[in-house]
Amino acid sequence: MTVMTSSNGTTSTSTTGRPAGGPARPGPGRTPATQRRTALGRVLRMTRFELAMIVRQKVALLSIALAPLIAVGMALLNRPTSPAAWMVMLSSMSVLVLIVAVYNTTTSTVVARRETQVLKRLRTSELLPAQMLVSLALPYVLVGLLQVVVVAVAYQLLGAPSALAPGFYLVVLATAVMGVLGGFATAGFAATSERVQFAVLPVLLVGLVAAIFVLNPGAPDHLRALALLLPFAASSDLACRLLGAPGEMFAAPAFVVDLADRVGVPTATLMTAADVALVALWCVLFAATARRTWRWEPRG
Amino acid sequence: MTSSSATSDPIIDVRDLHFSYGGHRAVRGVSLSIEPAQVYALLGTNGAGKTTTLELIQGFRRPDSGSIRVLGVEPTADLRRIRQRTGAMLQEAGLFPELTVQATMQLWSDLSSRVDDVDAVIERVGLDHKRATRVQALSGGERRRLDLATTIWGGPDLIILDEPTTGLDPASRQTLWALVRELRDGGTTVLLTTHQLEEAENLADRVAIMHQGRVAVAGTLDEVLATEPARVTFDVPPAVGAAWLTSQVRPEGVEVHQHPVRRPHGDRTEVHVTGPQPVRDLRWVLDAAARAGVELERLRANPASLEEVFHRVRLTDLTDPSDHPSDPSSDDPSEVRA
Repeated sequence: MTVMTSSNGTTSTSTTGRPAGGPARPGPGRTPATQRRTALGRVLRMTRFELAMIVRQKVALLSIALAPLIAVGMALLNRPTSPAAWMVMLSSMSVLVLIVAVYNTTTSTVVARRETQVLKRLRTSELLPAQMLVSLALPYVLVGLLQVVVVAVAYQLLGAPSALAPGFYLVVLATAVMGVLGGFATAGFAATSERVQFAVLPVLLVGLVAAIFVLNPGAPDHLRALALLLPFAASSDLACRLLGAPGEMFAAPAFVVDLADRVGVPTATLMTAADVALVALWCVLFAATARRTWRWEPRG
Repeated sequence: MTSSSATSDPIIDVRDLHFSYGGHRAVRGVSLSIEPAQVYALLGTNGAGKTTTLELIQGFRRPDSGSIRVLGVEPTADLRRIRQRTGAMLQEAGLFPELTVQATMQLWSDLSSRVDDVDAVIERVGLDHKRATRVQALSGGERRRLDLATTIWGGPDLIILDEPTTGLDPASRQTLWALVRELRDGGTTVLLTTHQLEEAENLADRVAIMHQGRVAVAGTLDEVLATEPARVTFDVPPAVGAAWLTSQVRPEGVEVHQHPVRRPHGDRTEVHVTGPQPVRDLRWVLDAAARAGVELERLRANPASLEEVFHRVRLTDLTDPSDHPSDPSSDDPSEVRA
């Protein structure tokens, strides 16, 4: 048996005595040289590769770079004057960043990979389907988180209170996951890369508008409550609540106030629970849709 | 890692496999048994069910019924183990267009538990001068070769090639065939689908022809060719015809057909004698001609070609649900061949 140790620390064994690169000689009574690769190690390698691919793909890189710039630009234009206004700005713009950079980019990447048959080809590798999807999604989730941190820091430099609430970042993480699942789901409706921009448009527009609208104190409460049902809206509302924005910033429709009185729970608690449930519901809906519409290869 | 081949079990054992896409029955009662270190060619018309069968074998799809054992395990139950020991080349290359040849192989190396040398494998498929070239800048044939390099990475026990020479020029095709033979000689089992009968004739130890979701005929090349009668053909003057032959007692299974043909030196009658035993049938013709004093022109005796078998299978209607032809190498004696 030959034992080889590579520079990255993986140990390989061979019972063939075959030098690496020599003729492939497995078969009866023989075993090819192997090295131990854990599922996690394989996922991390693929994730690292996917991150490198983001840098190579100009469109993806542009979306990712542009989104925080837009968020900062909006703050410069609006110049929030109170801590609560900064919290609203940070929450809604964080969701905007995640929609553009995570949801939009995930959809485009999946469709492009499917179109070029890369997804199908990778299925023949040792990267199992679930590991492949995690590897594909993880870079976008990480990039989304990083972008929100960048926006939060930029806002702080512009005068916003520091956004150190862990709950806020948990919501950002959940929203990034929702964006990835939404991307997987939407990819099932786009046959080609040319059609991706049309396929993402409904969720993209509705999400952007709803994420801003639900945090607009000037809008009627019942409409804001209805808007909470739309994708990404509850994320925006929940992020703002967990940043510690005052109660008057949020919608409190009469039926929720009545219900809160009847069960003896504060309205804010009830609305927070509703936000959590809605974020979870959209994750489940996107996941279920992705499961139904997912294809590894282009339509025949 | 264990090798099922050490126990001489089949590398692939498929029994009575069925699979439908909605209402379309793509695979209907397919059985195959592929031994270690064999090249097994799966031929068939378009839509015959070859690629679906390959996808079922690779665990991409779950069969509606029937059983599949690949390297001793059921593919959908233990994908990881199958992938560790299998290399596959699909109809389309499916490589990252932005990556170079070297980076593509490095990625494959990162994902694989099999060990090999990137430079050596690239050299082996003849792409050493294209190491730094991006996939999108490679020709179709070069992409196929890179695809093959990822397939043979680390020397898998089983290699599955779905129409591997589609789009290759003759020289590249010969190179690929040589590589497949080399792999087989090294103990690798190769399952390939192809439209090119020449490819099957050149490479395959066993052949199966699929049609309408079934294996219509299977076996070694000789066994498959034997399913189609061999042919003795000759010309005689029109006035002679074939009456001197048809009046003789015919050996079992022999048929005689004649038709007029125009040759450069005049009209002739071409006579075809088809039968299951070419040597016996030729002897019968020669004896009869000697007895009748007939001179045979342009006499030739040929076994059936794979093309003729393929053509016959293509014209056969296998949609009868009671018909379940299978690979004769499978153990079930109740299985019949078309």
